Amino acid sequence: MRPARESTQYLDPPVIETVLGVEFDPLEDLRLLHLGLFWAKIRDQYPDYETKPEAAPVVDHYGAKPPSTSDEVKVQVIAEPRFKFWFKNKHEGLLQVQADRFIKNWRKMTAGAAYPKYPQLREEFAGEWGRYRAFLQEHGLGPVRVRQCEVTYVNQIVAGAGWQSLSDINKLLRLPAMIGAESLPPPASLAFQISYLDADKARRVVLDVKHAYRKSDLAEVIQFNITVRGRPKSSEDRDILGWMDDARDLANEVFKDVTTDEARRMWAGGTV
Amino acid sequence: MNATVMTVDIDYRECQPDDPVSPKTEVLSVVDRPPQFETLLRRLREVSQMAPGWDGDRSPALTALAIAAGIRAIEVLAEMPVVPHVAPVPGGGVQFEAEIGQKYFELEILPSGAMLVLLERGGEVAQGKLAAVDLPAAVEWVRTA
Repeated sequence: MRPARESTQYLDPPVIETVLGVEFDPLEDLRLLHLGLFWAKIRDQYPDYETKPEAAPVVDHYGAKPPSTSDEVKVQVIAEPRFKFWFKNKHEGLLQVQADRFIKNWRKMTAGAAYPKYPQLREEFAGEWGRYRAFLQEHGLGPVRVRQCEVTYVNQIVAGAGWQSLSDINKLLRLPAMIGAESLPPPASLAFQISYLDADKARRVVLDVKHAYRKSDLAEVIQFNITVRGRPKSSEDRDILGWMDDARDLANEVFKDVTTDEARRMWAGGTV
Repeated sequence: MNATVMTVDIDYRECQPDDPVSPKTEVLSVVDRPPQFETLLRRLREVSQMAPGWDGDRSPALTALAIAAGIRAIEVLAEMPVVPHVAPVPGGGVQFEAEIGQKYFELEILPSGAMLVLLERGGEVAQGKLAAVDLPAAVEWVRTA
């Protein structure tokens, strides 16, 4: 397994959340009780939990023709309601587990919290994912057939940190000319998403940019997410982690490509 | 006040705020929202930034539960024909009030996130606890003749 590549270091990066996730065929025999048993195994690290509605599957065929479906109507009887569990630690860690998903989040919960860097997050993910797979095997709940993996970086830039009005957004992100169009007044708000498909690599990159207000403190922010989603070569751990390393490298390249030199100097510790 | 209580289509059942603590990273986009939405968010932010003792006494700052409930209320209040006035309430709450013609609307969000409403028209008053799901009905009462 190759080590994760070092990336540009920023003293004050805009990242406020990261996601390392695996989506797989639903584990039909997994019950709420099992997730309680799993929690008992990780409770020393994740002492709190919340139940949430189960997230809908993200079905992406990465440009391939979707498998044909018959006209037959299928009715699925579900033995019990399905939930997603959030297992939370005392700091910034969050594990999201549901019948078809295992997601490790890092969330910046306080202004001074430092981004722990990918190698640490990868190591934590690998350990926790390995523990979950062992648990599934122990209880005869597998095998795990991985559909896709995801690496997401959520970046937030608070008003006043390099931008005052949305006209300044071009100082941070390389955006289309429509932001500064002379025939238009300054933008009052914005939200857009661009999806890029690499069918050969069964991989998709989604850029999501929006002007918004953060719910926790109503700070006005420009949020831009970089999501890389795709299918690893196999369901083996080495392929999952290898895929994530590649996705993270790609996300780093995208970050460099879509942000300005000026903004990156600011995040690296310089000034705008 | 010599007032008659009028009947309005609001259920004054006990209100428990639902899932009041938002994840730290969750955001509200203002695209496709009425302009009042952003105005109210900014005003709520100003109120939320008032330091403890803002009232010259010992009032705490606006609570996180009241902020979360205030955000949910703004989703509905932004549909009003006027921008409600936003003011802090001693104890850690926040109040929205608006006057339209003969009608007066006041929504107080308690530090717990629970809501109290007061509707008044021509001396007739209806007031009490308000479930979040019934806020649109109260706003509709203000909007309609």
